[in-house]
Amino acid sequence: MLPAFRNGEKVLVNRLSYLFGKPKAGDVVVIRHQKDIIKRIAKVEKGKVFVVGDNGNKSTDSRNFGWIKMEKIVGKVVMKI
Amino acid sequence: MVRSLLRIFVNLLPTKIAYAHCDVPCGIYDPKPAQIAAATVLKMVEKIQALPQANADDKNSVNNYYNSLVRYVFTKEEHAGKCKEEILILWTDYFKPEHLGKFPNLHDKFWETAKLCSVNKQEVSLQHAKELVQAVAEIAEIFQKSKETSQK
Repeated sequence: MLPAFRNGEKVLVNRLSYLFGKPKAGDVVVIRHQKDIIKRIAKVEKGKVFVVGDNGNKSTDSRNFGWIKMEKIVGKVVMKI
Repeated sequence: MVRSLLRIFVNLLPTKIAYAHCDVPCGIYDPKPAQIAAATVLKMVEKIQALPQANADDKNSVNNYYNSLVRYVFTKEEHAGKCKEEILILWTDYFKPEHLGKFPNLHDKFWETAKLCSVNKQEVSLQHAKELVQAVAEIAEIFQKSKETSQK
C-alpha cells in the first residue's frame, strides 16, 4: 500500500468501526480475501465495497477480484503505530 | 511519552499480518503477452533475413546495416526471454495438478515451448520461430479450454 503504508509497518485496526458506522470512500481497511489484505475503499455500494491499493498499477485489488462483500471487512485502519 | 506507552500497550495486542497483495489466487493470467512476444520473435527473424546487405564502401550504409541488425537481434532476444517468462508464469502459477487429467501433455508442451524460446535466442531460424508461435498458440488453446472447464 505504498506510499501510505510501507512493508513491516504496524497499524491499529478497529474491528468495531463498521458495526456502528458505514464505510466510506477513502477509508483504509483490512479485508479478508484469501488472506488479510490492506486496501483503500474507492466506492461503496449496498453491502459491498470496491477497494484499490494506493500503489497504482502495481496493486492487485478490486480491479482484478471485483467488489468485496461488507462482511469480508475485518476492520478499519485507524492509525499507524 | 504517550506514544511510547501506546507502543507498549500495542505490543501486548494480538497482531496479524495484513498483506498489500493478494498474490497468486487473484492474479490475472493470460497467454496473450506470450503470444505477442512469440509473434515479435517471428517478425524479427523475418526482418533480419530481409535486411539488405550494406554497401561496404559506404560507411553510412554499413552503420545503418549494423544498427538495424543489432536492434532486430536485441528485440528478438528480449521477446524470446519475455515469452519464456510469460509461459513459465502460466505453467507454474496458473496450471494446477488437476489440469493434468484433462491435458496429460501439459508438462511436455510447456517444457518444449520454453526450450523453443531459448533456441530462438540462439538462432535466426524461420522454422523455429514459426514453431514457437504455433507452440504458444497451442498453450493459449489449452488455457482457454481450462477456463471453459472451470466455468462449467
